[in-house]
Amino acid sequence: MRQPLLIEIGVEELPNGHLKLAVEHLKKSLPEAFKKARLGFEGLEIYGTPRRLVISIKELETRQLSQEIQVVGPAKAAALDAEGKPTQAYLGFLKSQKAADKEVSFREIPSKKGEYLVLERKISGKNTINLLPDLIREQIANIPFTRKMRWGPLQFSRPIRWLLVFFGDKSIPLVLGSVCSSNVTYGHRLLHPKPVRVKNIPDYFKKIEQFKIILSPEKRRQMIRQELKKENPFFKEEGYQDLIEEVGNLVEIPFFFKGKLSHHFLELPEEVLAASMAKYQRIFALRKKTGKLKPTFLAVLNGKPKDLNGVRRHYEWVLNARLVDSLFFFKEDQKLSKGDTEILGSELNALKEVDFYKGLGTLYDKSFRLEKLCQEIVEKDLRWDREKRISVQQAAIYSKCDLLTKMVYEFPSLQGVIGHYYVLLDKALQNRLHRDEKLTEITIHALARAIEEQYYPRGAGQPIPETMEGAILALADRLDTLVGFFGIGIYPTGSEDPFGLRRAATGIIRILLEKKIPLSIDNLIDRSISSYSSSLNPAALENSQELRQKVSEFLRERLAIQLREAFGSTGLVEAVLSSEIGHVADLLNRLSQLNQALNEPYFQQAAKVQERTQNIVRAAKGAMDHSGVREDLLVEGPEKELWRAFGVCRQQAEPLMNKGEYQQATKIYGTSLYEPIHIFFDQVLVNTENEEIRKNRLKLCSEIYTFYASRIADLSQFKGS
Amino acid sequence: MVKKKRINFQELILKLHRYWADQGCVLVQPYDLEVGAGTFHPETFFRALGPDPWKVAFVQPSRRPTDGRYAENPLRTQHYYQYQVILKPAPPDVQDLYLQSLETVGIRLKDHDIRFVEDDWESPTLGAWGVGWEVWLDSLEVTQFTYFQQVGGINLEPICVELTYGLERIAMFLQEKFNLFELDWNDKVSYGDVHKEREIEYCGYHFEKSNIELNRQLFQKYEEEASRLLRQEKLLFPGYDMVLKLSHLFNVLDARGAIGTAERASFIGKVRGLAKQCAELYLEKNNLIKS
Repeated sequence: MRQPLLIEIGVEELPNGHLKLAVEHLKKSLPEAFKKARLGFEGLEIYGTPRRLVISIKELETRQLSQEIQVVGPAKAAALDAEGKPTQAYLGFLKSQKAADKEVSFREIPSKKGEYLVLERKISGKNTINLLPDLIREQIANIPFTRKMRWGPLQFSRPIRWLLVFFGDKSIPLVLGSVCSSNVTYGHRLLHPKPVRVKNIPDYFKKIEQFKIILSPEKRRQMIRQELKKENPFFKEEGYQDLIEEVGNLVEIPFFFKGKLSHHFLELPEEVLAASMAKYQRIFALRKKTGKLKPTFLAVLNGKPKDLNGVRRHYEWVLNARLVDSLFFFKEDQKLSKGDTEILGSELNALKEVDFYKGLGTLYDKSFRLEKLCQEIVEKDLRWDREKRISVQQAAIYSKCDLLTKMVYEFPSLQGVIGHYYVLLDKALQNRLHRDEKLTEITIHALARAIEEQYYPRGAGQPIPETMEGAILALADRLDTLVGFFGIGIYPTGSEDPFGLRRAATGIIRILLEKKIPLSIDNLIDRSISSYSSSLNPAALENSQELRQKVSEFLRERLAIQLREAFGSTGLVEAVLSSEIGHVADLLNRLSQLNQALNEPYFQQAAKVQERTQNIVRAAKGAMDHSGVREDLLVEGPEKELWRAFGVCRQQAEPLMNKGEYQQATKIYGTSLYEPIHIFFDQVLVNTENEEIRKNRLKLCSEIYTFYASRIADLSQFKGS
Repeated sequence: MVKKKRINFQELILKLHRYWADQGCVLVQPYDLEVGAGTFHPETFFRALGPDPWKVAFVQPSRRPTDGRYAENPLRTQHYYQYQVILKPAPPDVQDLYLQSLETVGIRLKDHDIRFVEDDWESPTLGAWGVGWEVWLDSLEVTQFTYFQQVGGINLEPICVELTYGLERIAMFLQEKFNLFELDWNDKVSYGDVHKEREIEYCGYHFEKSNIELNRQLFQKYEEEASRLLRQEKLLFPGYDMVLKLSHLFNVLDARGAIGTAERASFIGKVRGLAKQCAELYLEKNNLIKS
């Protein structure tokens, strides 16, 4: 038989993060707990508001499923004596299991030989009502809040103040610390402060509805999104998600109202306005269809206050006071720009006082390492023109200066954005760059933009840098971090990555792939390592060979993950990654082309050729030297034919490979070698007695295999769909 | 329409005193040294330790040099008044007690939007931290509400709750005057009359004129003296006074821009270490086991 279950845990305001964690955790742990307790259930919902966690189950078994247990005792030979009467072993077993004679019998045990004395018993399940108190207590105690507090005998996120537990129509007694469950609940703190009696579960939900409380966090978020869309149908959720979630979890009864933002503050950068509003008041900046900020904000209150006009007046006044502060910081930062003094330039020297990390130098050192690294990349690898090169180099030099401004101190999430603004506001800097480096206005804008884009992508699913200058600086910054930390022996572990090294690596891979930049991972790593050795304060990095390998592996892992996401786990990604990677963009090209050709007969043929040659080569590992195939040692018809076919194949396929026409190259390889290789394996004994000929045949196979595998993919790893 | 009698600043304090006295709090006086918060008052710091119940309330003038804005910001000053309440053990209905206190001083709760927004307060120099909230009244923080977990690096048993009201802010709501300096201190005198000139001078001192070298030397001397008093002489309260002086000196040097990022941790560590010694000495002197 089944009955509904309702548990309401009344608490003092739960932090947003804890509320989220509790709901997610209970969604997983409760089903596990019920399963373990052999209680069938259906319709589990977990709700949460700042003041209550609610567990609702539509149907829960009123009784545990009974269990059939089997206990194996002594073997028959030991249990019965010569006359077939029970021995001490038999009787002892009965005693230890508190069993009656009729409960035992002799059975064959599959894992053992012969018959054994076996006790079979049916244990009827306990009543759920008796199991609930301990189960609930355990569930509550095990919610893994990142920080718990003590306020009495218990530990929890915040003090628990009331409990409501209903199973069917009955209110279940449960004691948690000094709180006893009862059949009362509470509404909004101010609107419905008195305890309200609840008759049963439907009555509970009815009362909650009367209170206008929205139990579901997702529903509250939805309401906020809807309200924001009402203001601007083109509203984009990017960048607002965190605020929406947090604001949703600060209220039980979402009530919306709008207020005004004084025009006076529109001189502040939009990002600063939005950041200030979010940080200090948890209100939303609103945008017009054009994307420009409206001088209006949207606030989400907890229930409708009696004096709404007063509240609005207060919100506007507080906004004003906070923005006065932001404007103060903004102007203070720019006070540094007097005459020839540059805003960011003034901070540059101060970076000598700020450590990047112990052992890796200061932020000043890092800035100049980045300059050097960017220079190497854009000069030697990408061969950019002078102005573009200088632009990204100068961006690198000033890339960390905004970290010391008052604005970034106040709003750390605006690092980069502030740098961008301050370059554009810094006439002294612009004049100098124009005069000394001959940079045009457009280039200076690109420079400023790059300083902001160095931090892109700002997270998973966030956009990568739009400009190439930004992309190079973003790559350089992350490489410098990765190489630096690995170089002093700091690696991410399974559970900890305090310096965001995985994120940095993913960022590098995403930028290389999505912007299709023709740079090789290993080359980039080398350049970064050398920027460390030639910097003003060279860091003592580990042995560079080892370091390069470790970083390279780490990046390849990330690369594999990204590629698998796009191309699946058929083994095609692994096949391509086994070859020489070279440029990541080229790799992507190979993958795309091969992916399209999967069902082509020539692809299957090429894969077969690879598979068979690779088998031989693997088996004969170590038996070969580096010399080439000797034509004079080719004696049999099929091997001569294979060699000839391979020569033609190479001649045709190589230029195709060089042009990146991998499908065509694969076609040539597959079609020209499929038959010859099969005839060869059918009719020629590779492992012949003659050692020279044997080695020659192995070399033949090896060359055929390597020709394709090293340039395109090791198709022997491809499992097929 | 009945005109709401404006509750001036001194009235507000009297009302809070009355309310908390009625709750059984001992009304003590502010501590007479420069401190950054009521938490530094020996009545908070030491009474939080150990098992004895305690209820206390007081006004504490607090100095935060970096918050100075030359009296140009309507909200932020380097000196302001906290109203501090310590309840040990924490009563089960403390949130209601707090809200009731607001109602009592004249804030009509139903007119407003009141939120308890997560904020786990900590004082690195005192080795104290707790779990709790900022209480927002129409999006402005007016109180810090903290269940203390540790003081001087020592786990509290039982824990106490600390309510720290921002008096000026509450007064602003009561008087509908949104510039600190325009608040009525009493019926004749404004807050600005009392504090504006002082505020401007102190900002100048903290940001531009304080003697860095002198303060560094003083820091060193007080550090040595603190050690001597605590370790050798076992004089708890004079030793603690030295810790307070160090904490304030740190704040003054910091506002002056004299503390580099690398040094910061070292300064804080020194003060915290001495605060820890004070806490331990207190427990030792009161024959309490360190929990």
